[in-house]
Amino acid sequence: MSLYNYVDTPNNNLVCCICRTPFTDPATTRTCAHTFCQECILQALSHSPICPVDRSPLSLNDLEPANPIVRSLVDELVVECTHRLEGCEHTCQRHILASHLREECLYSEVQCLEEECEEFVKRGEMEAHLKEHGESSESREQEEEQDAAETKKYPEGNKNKESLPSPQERQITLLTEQNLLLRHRVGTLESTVQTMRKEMVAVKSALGPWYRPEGYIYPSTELPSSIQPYAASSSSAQHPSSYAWTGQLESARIPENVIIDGIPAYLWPEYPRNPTSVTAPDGTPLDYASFFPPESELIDYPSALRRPSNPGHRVHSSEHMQPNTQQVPGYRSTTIAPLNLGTSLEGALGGLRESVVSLAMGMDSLGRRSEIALTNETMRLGEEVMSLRAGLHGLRMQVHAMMVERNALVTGRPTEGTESGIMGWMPGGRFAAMQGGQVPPSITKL
Amino acid sequence: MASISARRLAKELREIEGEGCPVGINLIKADDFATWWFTIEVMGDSLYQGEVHTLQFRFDPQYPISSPAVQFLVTDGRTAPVHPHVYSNGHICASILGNEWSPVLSVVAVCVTLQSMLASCKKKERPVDNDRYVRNAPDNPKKVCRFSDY
Repeated sequence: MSLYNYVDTPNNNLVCCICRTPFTDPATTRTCAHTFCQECILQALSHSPICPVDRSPLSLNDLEPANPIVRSLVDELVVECTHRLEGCEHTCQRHILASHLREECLYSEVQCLEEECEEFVKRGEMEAHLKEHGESSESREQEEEQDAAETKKYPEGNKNKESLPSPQERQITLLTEQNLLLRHRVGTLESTVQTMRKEMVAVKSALGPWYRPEGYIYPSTELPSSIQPYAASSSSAQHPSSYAWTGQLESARIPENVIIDGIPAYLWPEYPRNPTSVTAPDGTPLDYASFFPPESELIDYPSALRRPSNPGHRVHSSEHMQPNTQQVPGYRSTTIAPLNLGTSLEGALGGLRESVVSLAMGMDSLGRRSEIALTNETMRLGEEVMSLRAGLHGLRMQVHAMMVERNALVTGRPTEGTESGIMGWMPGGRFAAMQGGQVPPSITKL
Repeated sequence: MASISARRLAKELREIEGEGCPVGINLIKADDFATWWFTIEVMGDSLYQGEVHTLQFRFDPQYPISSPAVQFLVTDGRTAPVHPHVYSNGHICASILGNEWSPVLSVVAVCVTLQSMLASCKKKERPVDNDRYVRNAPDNPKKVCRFSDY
């Protein structure tokens, strides 16, 4: 969009609504028949794919060159020469201005006609400039003057070129437009690529160790099959209390010949299932056989419980749970497998879920156990209290009897005291003494 | 092509100086092609009769392809009009300033639209989320997520 000074105010219909100047290379929309400068509408479309006038959807394909009549009207608007301020008073139709500047205008700069001189001189000053050259060598002066005179006439003979631009020029403008278009597209594509790259980086970092490039081969399973995801989710839809059991049955490769307390080992809820992947805090693989008391000594503390390794809970960044020891006879610790990065994300999630399931079961059994313990304690205490109460009651009865006897004896016979009376203080004989009316030995003997 | 905005703004300025502004709108300051100030007054019978408010336009090099940033000035004793679409910090919620902007619109067109927005107001009240918005508002009203149900 070059800047023209129009001699007359152009008709409003010929003015582009985006740049508010008469159209330069007008393009019309096929869909809604609005006309804009090619450049203006390209810029507007790169910002938002709608027609600026009526906001209807618009794309580059919907643009076509404007009606030739519009084109001619705009091209024939009379403009002033761009060198107006320097003195050129020439006015002409807009499409002619280019050739005027190129070939006629006295104020446009051209390269010196001398072959060796590379200065740019205004056409009007060319004569003077050439004279300067001439002053340096007289032999060329005349020739140069003649050349200068001819050049001065040169633009006069070029009036026949005032018609439409040559095919080359048209092609150049077409290519420039296409170039512009392509540039826009490349820019958009580049920014898209940039955005997508950033997204990729973010996704990669989010996945972390689970980012699997195409064709990744999973290493052979490091975990025993007990931690592999199985149909726990489907079985969990069934009766909740039984799913854990069936799950253990399927997954745990527990030796079938291990029998604890008459019940196969795999039915114990706390039977740990990871014989190979869990290590004690000191690094040595846990020896699970030692966790289980011999069949007949269920009440004994398992020898492993006496290990000083883990007095209490220690959780390692939510991934590895130490075996939890409690001083409860017959307790089997629940162990959680470490996070397995070898399998896929779903595998790791399944493994974590298993750990959560086993934790929940551990907690359930813990709850049950503590309830039982509490009940037992309560009952025992109740019994003790009852026996104490009975004893106390007995004592009270004794005291009461003694007091009664003493009173009777004190009020009845205050002076007598026989051994038989003393004998009468014996528990078995007190009633006999009361009945027999014997004398207590003294008041002090209570 | 940063000059597209300069040329267009020069054109608009020439129009304003040549033909004047519509009634109730006055150009106060247009020293550069970056920030322009207008005063806007609602004529006739309206809730804002007699109130004069100052509008600030900020243009970026992509004008008129991109919309100008328009807000009421609230400095130096000026206040923003009490309107359901005008926040107390001067930011305006108007569709033509957001996703309904078109290069066909001009500065004067925006002023006229805002004038009619004020004139058609039935009740003087601030927007519902005024306090929350003002607390978190950015400096440039164009950076806010706009909703398009106006």
